[in-house]
Amino acid sequence: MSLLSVENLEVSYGDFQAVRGASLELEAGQTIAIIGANGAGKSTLLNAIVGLNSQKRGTVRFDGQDITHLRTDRIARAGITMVPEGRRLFGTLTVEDNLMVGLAAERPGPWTIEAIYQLFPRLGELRSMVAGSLSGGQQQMVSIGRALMTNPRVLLCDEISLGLAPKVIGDIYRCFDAITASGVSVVLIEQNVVQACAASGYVYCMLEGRISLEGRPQDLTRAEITAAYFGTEVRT
Amino acid sequence: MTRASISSPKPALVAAAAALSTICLALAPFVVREGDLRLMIEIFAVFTFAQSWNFLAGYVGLMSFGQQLFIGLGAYFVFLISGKAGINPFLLLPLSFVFCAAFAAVCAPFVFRLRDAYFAISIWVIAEVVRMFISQKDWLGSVSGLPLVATRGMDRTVVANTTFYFVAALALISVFGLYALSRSRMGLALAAVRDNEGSAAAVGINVWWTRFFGFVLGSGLAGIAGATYYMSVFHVEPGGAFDPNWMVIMLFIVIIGGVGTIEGPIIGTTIYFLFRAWFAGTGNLYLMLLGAAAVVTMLVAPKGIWGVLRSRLGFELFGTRRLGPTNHRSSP
Amino acid sequence: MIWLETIANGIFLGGLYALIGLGLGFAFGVMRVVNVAQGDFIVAAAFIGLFLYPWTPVHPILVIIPVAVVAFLIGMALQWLLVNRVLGHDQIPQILLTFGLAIVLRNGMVAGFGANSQSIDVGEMRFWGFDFLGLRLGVLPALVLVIAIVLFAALHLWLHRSRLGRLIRATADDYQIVQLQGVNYRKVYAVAMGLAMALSAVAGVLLAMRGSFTPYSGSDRLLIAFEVVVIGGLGSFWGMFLGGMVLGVTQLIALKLDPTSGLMYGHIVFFIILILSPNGLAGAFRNAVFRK
Repeated sequence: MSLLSVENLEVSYGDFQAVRGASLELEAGQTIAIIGANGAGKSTLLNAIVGLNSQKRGTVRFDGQDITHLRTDRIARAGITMVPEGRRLFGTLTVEDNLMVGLAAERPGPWTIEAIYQLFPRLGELRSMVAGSLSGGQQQMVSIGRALMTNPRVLLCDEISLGLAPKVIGDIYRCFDAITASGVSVVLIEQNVVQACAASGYVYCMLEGRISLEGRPQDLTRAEITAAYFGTEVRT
Repeated sequence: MTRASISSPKPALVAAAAALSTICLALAPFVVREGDLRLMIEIFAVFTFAQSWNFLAGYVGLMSFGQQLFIGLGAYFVFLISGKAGINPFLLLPLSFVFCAAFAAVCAPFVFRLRDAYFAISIWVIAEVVRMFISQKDWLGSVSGLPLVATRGMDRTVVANTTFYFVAALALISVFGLYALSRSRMGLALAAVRDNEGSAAAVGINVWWTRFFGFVLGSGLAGIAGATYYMSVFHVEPGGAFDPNWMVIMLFIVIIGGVGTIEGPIIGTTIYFLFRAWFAGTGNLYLMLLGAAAVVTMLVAPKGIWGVLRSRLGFELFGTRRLGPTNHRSSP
Repeated sequence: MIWLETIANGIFLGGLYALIGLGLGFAFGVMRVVNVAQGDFIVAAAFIGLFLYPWTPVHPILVIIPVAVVAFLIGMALQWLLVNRVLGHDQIPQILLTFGLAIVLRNGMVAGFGANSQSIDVGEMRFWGFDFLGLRLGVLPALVLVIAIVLFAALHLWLHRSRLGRLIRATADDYQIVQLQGVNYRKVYAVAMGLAMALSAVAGVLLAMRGSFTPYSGSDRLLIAFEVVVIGGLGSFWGMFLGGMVLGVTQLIALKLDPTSGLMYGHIVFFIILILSPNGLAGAFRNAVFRK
């Protein structure tokens, strides 16, 4: 049985249906990626999993339990958290305070404040800086660190490379080896297909609210991915 | 969304209704006893107060807790000028609209710097300042107020009937005028600004001036209605004219009926006067009931009675209601 | 000399006004909720104080402690049972809800206790005075200012040093995201409203000791609180303190010049400040505690 399974999830905002029946599976210890163009419904899907979106149908199961309609804070306490799109730090709090908020989930585990500073040594130096004043890459580290502080079993990452310099993106993705090694299963949302394929063991491609393609990165051809990504026919 | 499934009558039908109610009201003084006429004046005046607040809160998106300011200002304007200059007060009534609108226009640049509750309370502060100012000045009658001297030489029936016609006209305007306005280009702009300032600006609407227009219009309407109401009372004093309880009554009527609808305040006014007839003897209990009803409505049916009826019946009298402020509480 | 005394007394009164504003400003800073019933809750707290002070040991002024506890519980219940149900993007429902509550509370107090003027008797202390730099000042007003400063500082420290304080600041910054760290923001809101009420209640009781109150005093209290918050720059901590001082000093000077003016000149000064500086006095050097 998979750790996290999404069955036929439909999510709408008012009249607009952003996700139209998406299903996916995440095994313990696995890293999967969801790719797709802007507006394909990737973020909506993640928000729905953590309960930030209430208008939904379908089922989300975590460790065998139905968590579809659980409140976000309960889901976080159960062990699923998210690194939100745009980082969304607590801008008036210091770096350390931002990280410490994660203690509220009351989930003991390997990720302590020291472990975070070990993972991102730069944050240790910046610990008493106000989070709003950091650079984009540093903020992303805080955002990831803050999520890890809840010691999640599943970590959802929404576009963590967005707006960052290639070198910074490389640095951040390198840290994911340590994160997965600690037993955390990861769901990545990426617009960058190459990055997504390199970092994950299984890829879902979303198009207009549906899963248009899935498979192991090594089994998918470039043409297939392009077709699923942009919705054009595959010419064979 | 239920919007598409709600039927609304043609403008021609509304025009016919307007004509019919005008005729009925024109005949009213000939068939109604004088005491009832006075009650009708009060009902129409209170309805217009409520409608002016409803216009500001529900159509312009400006919630004020100081609407009594304009009721008092309008009344004082007419009483003072007619008394000092000996002008027929009925001629001054339209000017009371202008006076209150101008007063609002002067305040707007300052109070518009504040939003939501802070805006609401800032108008209340102005009302308090004006009330205290009047209470201190002997030439304004200080705390004991001003009598209406200008109508003393006139025929009582003529005064009562003319006042009635004025207030009936205001009530009609606040229904059918609001209907016409909300279907106009300006009405669309107001709705856009109320619902989403950013997108309104993006489609080329001048947010500040649109809001300014709404504020000035709503304030003027309350002012002329206040002036007309106090013409039927023959006496105005600061404690009564600037009484925050006017605000309580307006809020009750609009909230119970349904904010942002034309029909809501009609229902609200009916309920308010029935309430008053039944419970007026109970003093504070009656006011407590008004407050409690507002709390319960917010918890149970924030769109008010008309909002509930509308979605149950799938029908509305005036097909103007666009997505209102209490309507779009979508999850983030 | 008499003017210096007036200014000093204005500063004492200003500390109390700042405290009245603190509850409203704190609730706004954390939840973006404006509790229009705050003024009437302040009066209700004064009534609770009126009933509890005869039983208060050591000294009547200590009645602020039990009143603060009761107010904290009432605030939590208010948020949990009522305000949390109407939270949302649109502020109108919560404002109208609390307005309705204010009407119920005010008229309930009139019905229950009558419209007479009341005061909490602190005994001899009311008449104690002391000399400071040649000025003759009252002990009670000075003590009230000290309490106000202590509460401001304590709240500031608590927000920045404690675990719960950190959660409150985080929730104020982004109530959605704190949920991802396992925080139920509705609970945090309830605690914040409880605190806001407790602070306001202390202000209400102290005000009832310094002067008198009636069930109708709520509107004046709300307007003062509102002006303190706006002058302070909507949520700035020390700006509110400054706002209270400005209002307190203005009011006492005005009362010296024109004994019937009441709060009028305070209101006028408020508007002058609003015209000159839309972001309040603290706008320029705004404290970053709650900035969004």
